[in-house]
Amino acid sequence: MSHPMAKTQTLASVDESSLLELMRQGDEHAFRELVCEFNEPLLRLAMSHVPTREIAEEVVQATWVGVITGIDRFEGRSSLKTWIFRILVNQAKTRGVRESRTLPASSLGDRPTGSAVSPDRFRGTDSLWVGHWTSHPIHPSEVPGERLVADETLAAVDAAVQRLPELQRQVIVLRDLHGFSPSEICELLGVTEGNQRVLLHRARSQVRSALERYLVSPEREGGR
Amino acid sequence: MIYDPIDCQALVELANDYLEDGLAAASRTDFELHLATCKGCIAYLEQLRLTSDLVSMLPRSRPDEGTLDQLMDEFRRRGPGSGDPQE
Repeated sequence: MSHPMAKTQTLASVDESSLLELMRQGDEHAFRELVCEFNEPLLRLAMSHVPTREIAEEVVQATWVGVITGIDRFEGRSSLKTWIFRILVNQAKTRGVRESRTLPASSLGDRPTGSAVSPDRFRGTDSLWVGHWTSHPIHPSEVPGERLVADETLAAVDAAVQRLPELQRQVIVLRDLHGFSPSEICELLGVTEGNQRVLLHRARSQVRSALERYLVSPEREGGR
Repeated sequence: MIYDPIDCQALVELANDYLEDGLAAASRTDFELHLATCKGCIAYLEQLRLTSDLVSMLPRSRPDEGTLDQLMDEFRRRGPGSGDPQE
């Protein structure tokens, strides 16, 4: 059973080859589309690599210049998107900051219990059904379709994403909003595969939890 | 007697790995066996999928006009078709 929505594809993943072709011909509008699509995630990613927003903006600007002057040489061995983000990471590194490392658990933004769902949602050892749901989570099909994708619902999801610890936010945005693969994310953020899995697990769990609270009581959760 | 090696509380810790195709075969089998008879976990998994899909629909902000203008200038001056030798 699945809910009634299709996943939105990014502009670049749908039209990448035509955008690339147009850009090679000097088409400004194609380049403009690219900038509008990626400037924000590039900036966000830059900010996780350098100490200030000002430097991050410089890094992004340098990245776009690199794209402009390098587009003729782009061979298409990776996706256009990956190529652009790699330029950004290289630019950030020339400003001499964070290196790849395995993160200590504390920096992964752990909840006190480290669990995806609060333990009080499950029956305890005093029950025959220990470890089972005390009450079932609401199934998305029980919510009217138009409400699932309403602006207010997206606002609640957005608010939950904004509340995430930095790296968890980076990972869920890169994965779900921008469609990067786990290995690309590891490369861009300088984290291990294990880190990436844990970060994504925690990020999606937190946002799911907020979404569920919103679906059950919209007036209380809202865009808080 | 139904074979149910994992309970709901354990399943939710594996749910994301399952969605990401990151579970080893044995764990995946246990996961699906539990899911087959548990409405609560089916609902949970759908919520997790929905979460990921909603994040994919979040609005993105545009760069400010000043930044955009500067970049467009740069593109005209130094991009393909500008006549400038590419680096």
